Amino acid sequence: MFLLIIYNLICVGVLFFCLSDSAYAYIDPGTGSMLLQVLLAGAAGVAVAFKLVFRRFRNIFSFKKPGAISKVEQSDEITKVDATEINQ
Amino acid sequence: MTLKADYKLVEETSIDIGRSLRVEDKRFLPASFRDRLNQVVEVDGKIIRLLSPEGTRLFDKLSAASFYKTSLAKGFFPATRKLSEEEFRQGNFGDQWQAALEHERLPFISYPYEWSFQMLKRGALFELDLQLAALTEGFSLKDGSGFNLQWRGVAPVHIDIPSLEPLAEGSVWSGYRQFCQFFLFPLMLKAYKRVPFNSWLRSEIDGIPLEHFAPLFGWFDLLRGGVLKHVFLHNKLSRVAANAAGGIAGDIKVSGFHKELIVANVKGLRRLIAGLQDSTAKSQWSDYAEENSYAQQEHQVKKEFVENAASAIRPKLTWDIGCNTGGFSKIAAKHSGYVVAFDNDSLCIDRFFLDLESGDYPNILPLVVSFADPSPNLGWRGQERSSIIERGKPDLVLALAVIHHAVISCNIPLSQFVAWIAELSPTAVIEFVSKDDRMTKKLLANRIDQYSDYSLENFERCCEAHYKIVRSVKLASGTRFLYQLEK
Repeated sequence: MFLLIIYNLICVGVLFFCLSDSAYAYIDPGTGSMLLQVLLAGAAGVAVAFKLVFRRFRNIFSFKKPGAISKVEQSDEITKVDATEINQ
Repeated sequence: MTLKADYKLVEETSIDIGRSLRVEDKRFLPASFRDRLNQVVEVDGKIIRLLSPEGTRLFDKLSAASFYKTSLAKGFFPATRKLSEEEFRQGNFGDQWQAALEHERLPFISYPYEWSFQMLKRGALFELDLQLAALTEGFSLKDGSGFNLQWRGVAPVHIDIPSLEPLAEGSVWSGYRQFCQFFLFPLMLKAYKRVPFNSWLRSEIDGIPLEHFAPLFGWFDLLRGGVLKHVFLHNKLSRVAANAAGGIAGDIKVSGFHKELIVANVKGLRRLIAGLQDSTAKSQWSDYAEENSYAQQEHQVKKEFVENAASAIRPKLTWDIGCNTGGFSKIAAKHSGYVVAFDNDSLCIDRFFLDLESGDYPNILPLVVSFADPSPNLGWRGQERSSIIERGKPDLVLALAVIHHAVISCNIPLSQFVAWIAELSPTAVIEFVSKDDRMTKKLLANRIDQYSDYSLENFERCCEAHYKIVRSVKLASGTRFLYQLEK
């Protein structure tokens, strides 16, 4: 039952997933398989699932363009740029 | 693998093969092309893995990790060393590579579709244990392919060392689906549906596809361990997610996914797989014991005959092409470098595998293979996975009590069967089971006897066309005959 609630929550969230900004490996892990791993994590995964879905809704209602990057990702970008400059 | 095909692979990967090496000295292994960070070549019979600059950086990190060193020392990886800069330069491997590793050559390559239930289960648990060890130090498998696993006897070996990479923060296990398709689903198929997985795995280069596997399970099956999560919800989510416009890796990361969640998932998978059992196993094994209650004396003569032949030939590689539960493979193993023991009955191989795990015979690899339908070339260009014959020809073949199955059950002409063994091996021990034998009569019970070629005289003629008969013995039953053959 608990699993099914989280599953439904994720399914609703999935409808709004549209952002692709990082990848893991040379094989496609599969979006569904990635989401399932959140679900499988039990109670600890619930928090992640909620955040995941909440983020999507927030992005939809804040009228962000698909592909826009969040604050966290922006800060990642800045760090990368800094590191590149230092290397040069 | 023909030489012509080798040239093609070398040309098309645009590698400068250099003047110091002859072309035939360097061969790109046709299975090694998916991951652009490394590629495996064979040079002078040595297995060399070339690493790109990024691949080198990742390997250097891995090789400093303590779980890597421990696993290497325990033989969980093939023995591996990094070539010195001088050796690498002399190899003239091409500009896109920065370093190279030399791996131990394993005695015989096999594939998941040739393993029994217990072997696949053992392999799955081994891969999960490796993943858990890697995770504790911030590394993870980046895939979950069954082809990454090989055997040294019955000890599992993870051959794709660069598939272990540092785990990026917030990442999931990207090989999870592949692991399910190669390990979990085939095991569930046998444990829950009593259907052998081998032929399905043989026909799918990337394992049993989730979307093909899930429809086998009805509502009642959701009560079985792992079906709701790893099959039903996995499939549903994949179908729903197929409509999503893009990837979600970034979303999962910033939502707080972390390493401990992968650890929990992997532990859950481990518990699930450890509990899977082949429910068909028990009854049929006891049947086997009854079926084979043939005279002790006859059995003893047969053992001595095989022992004498093997000790005289001292083969590097022996094939036992109908090994049953492996009694004669063990005798041959005492005098052989390595024994590959085939049987198309996966229950026999399961039983033999569990028996071998006691460790007394580290040089026997049992496989589920039918001599009448040996594994073919498969995959990309029909070369990615080699036919079993291309993976190493034997110098001794044991064909004990299989010839009646070949000629009568499989309708293979006697002359062709003997010719096939002669193509494979310079020496052989063959047991001829005459038409008067109880087992042969059983095979003929519901067939028209079209096997006029199946006689002892014709068998001897066929043998003499390819071999010299070194020795032959009539067993006490009077219906079975042993032959030692040499070219």
